Amino acid sequence: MATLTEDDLQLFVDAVKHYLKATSKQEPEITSAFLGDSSVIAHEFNGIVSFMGGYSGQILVSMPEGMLRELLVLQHEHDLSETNLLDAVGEVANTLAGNARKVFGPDLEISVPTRLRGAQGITARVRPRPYVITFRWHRHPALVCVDLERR
Amino acid sequence: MTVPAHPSHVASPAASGPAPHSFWQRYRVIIVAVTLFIVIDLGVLMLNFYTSFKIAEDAVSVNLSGRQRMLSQRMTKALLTLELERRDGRDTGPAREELRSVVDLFDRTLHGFNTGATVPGGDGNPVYLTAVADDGGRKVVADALARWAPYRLALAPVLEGRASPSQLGIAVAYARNENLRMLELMNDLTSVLEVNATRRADFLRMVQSVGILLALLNFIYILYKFLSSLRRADQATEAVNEENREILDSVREGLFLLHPDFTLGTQISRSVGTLLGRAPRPGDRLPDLLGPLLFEKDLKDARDYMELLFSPHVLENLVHSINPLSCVEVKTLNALGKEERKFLSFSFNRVLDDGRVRHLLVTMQDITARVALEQQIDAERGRARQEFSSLVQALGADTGALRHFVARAETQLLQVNSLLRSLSEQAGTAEVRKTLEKVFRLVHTFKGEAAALHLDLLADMAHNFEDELQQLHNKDRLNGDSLIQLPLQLEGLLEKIAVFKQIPLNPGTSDDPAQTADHALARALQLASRAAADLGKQVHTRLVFEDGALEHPWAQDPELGSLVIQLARNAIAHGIETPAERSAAGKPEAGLLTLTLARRASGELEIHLRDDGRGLQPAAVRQRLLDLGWYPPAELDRLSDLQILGQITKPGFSTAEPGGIHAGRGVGLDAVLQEVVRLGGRLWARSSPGRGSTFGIVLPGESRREPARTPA
Repeated sequence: MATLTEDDLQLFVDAVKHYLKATSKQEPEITSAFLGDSSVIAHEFNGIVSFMGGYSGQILVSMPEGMLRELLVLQHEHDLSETNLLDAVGEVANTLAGNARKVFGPDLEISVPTRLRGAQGITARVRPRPYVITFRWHRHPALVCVDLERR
Repeated sequence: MTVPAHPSHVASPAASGPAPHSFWQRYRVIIVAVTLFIVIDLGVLMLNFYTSFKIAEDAVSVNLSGRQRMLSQRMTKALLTLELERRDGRDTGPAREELRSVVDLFDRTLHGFNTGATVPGGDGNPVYLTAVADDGGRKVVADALARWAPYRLALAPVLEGRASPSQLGIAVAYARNENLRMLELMNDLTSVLEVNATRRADFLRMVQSVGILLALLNFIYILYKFLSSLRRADQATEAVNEENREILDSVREGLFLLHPDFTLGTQISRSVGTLLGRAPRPGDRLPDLLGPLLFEKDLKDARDYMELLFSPHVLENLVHSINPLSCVEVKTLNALGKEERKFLSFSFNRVLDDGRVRHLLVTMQDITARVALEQQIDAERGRARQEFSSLVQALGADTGALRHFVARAETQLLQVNSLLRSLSEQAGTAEVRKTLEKVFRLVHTFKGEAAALHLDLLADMAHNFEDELQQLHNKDRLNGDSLIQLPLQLEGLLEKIAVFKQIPLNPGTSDDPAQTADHALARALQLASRAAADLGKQVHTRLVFEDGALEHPWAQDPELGSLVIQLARNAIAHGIETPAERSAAGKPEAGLLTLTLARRASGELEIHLRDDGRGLQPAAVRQRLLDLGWYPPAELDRLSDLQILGQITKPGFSTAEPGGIHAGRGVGLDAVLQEVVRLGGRLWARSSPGRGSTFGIVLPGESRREPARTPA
């Protein structure tokens, strides 16, 4: 199991931070970082991107409904339907993937974001215990789960 | 990307294709066209000269034929004047002279028109009069000559001055009869000559027009061919430039030429900007670009090296090995504008021209991955050695103690993870700090137990984890980003514990309760000798079980070993003096640690750990508290020595130098106290300056086995 570095994790965190800061002028605050398992329940709206190439595995961005609604309102979006909320969380995941490609190089294969509705326990794909980084934005909790291994 | 070390030249596009065209083949069409242009121009010029010359002749002819008209009239006038003067008896000399002059001029000119001759021109200077060639003209001249011949004869006696009146009369009659006709003939001649001259002028105009037209067409053709050729050359150049640009845009290496004044050439690959973190421009100086990235000494070495390469007498191959930039660490901004460390490799190759070093071809590569891999391989090699050594030690260790450690360690580490996870629900910095202290205590206990079992790899990893936690704890304001590294450290420890779990440990070797307690506590005390050696101290240990103590439930509890380890490490680090100090104090060089277990009548188990070291020193503790700034000096002065000594179990307090693996964290006693309280016991201490200290733990009558700690 090739361990990721702090820089690798920071990259994914920064992507989410930059996205939220660009959208709302307010940066989220990292509240914890730990090893996740199925007892860690994600939030209602989830965006997942899968990686192949230099890294394999997946990254999950999970946000509660209230946070996404607020995000859309800040983007002057009036349609707050479930589809749009899912699109929003998928876009965050996509931004994160784009940043990963910028830093890790074009050889990294990244899937289009999969969007999932429903709070479930975290399922590990490649690591025994994926890294979970929680953050808070406008009082809303959210998390990024990094389940990647370097090849 | 390599460049031959031998003299090299940049290959032209033609050099790699078919045989080069000769000058004639390449420019044949243009040469022919230009030659034609010159021939046409010369032809027109010559024709122009010739025609102009003819026109000049025509002009003389027209001019002289006009003069003939005038002479015919002057001749008649002079003859009539002469006749009148003779009749009046006046002197006829001047009139005769005028007549002679006119007749002579008229006669020569008329014959000149006929055969061509040199005659006086309009200004009296001789000019060549060309014979009239045109048929019409010749006919007029012939007619005029036919009429002039008898007229000339009739004038002869008059001109000689011997003419009788009748002869004069004949001449005058001739003049009267022929004057008008002669005038008409000369008029006709003039007209014919003018027509000829006009025709010739027209011809000249036509020749000139045609010549200019041909020259113009030829010029347009040359221009067309020239522009076509230029366009083809431009397209070829553009294609070469485009290919060049594509290569420079796509090549991963940074490539550019360096001039002797260290300025960059015009062709710079795109990667250079990426590698340097800023896009350089042609003409920028390489030392200026590298200045912000390198240490001053490295920069100076690089400059000296480049100067060496520009010196032709230095052999390039010999100096390659001293390239100071073959692997250099720099800090640049990445694509997200974030600072990142990377390793770059610069190689310099000469570009020679006639034996002179014209440029250096500089090739830059990002070798961060390679360096990281090398470092990783080195680290992995070291880790593998350490792991192997740990495994060998583990296999040689007390399997019962190891089994208990592995089981407890995983629990401890998962508790750490639960505490980290709980941070997300904590609002204030104080709460977060408190949780981190709990994490620290767990990691510290883990480290102590690993060290007791000589599991150096785990102890070192835990020590590094402690370093990270300590740095976090020392920050005035906890930044969430700094938490990101914690799961990485934790994961490393969990992975190692997972490896230890796979070691087959014989559960039967140490399951006798008395032996387990004996072994566990003896193992705990073993740390003493080891930590003492690390600290340059010597120590002997003694383990005493008083009556009934060995059978007490707590004596068989593995957690007791953990407590003893912490206390023993604390005693060695802080209590036992160095051999020199002990000798000076009149003590044996080796200190003595005595662990005594006694069962009280109340059923409680009392554990004493006594050392014969320097004892607790209130003055040193007071000074340390002052240095830590925990209390204002005035308040410290008010505290009694007992109150001062009571501070030593507070988290973060230590009188040892920070950073050592055995002490200096200020956590040992704090962890012991927290653990004892959790087990429902009490901790006490007694000390005598210069003679030693005793730390005592009193545990309740029943062993409270409650391994699952819940994060507070």
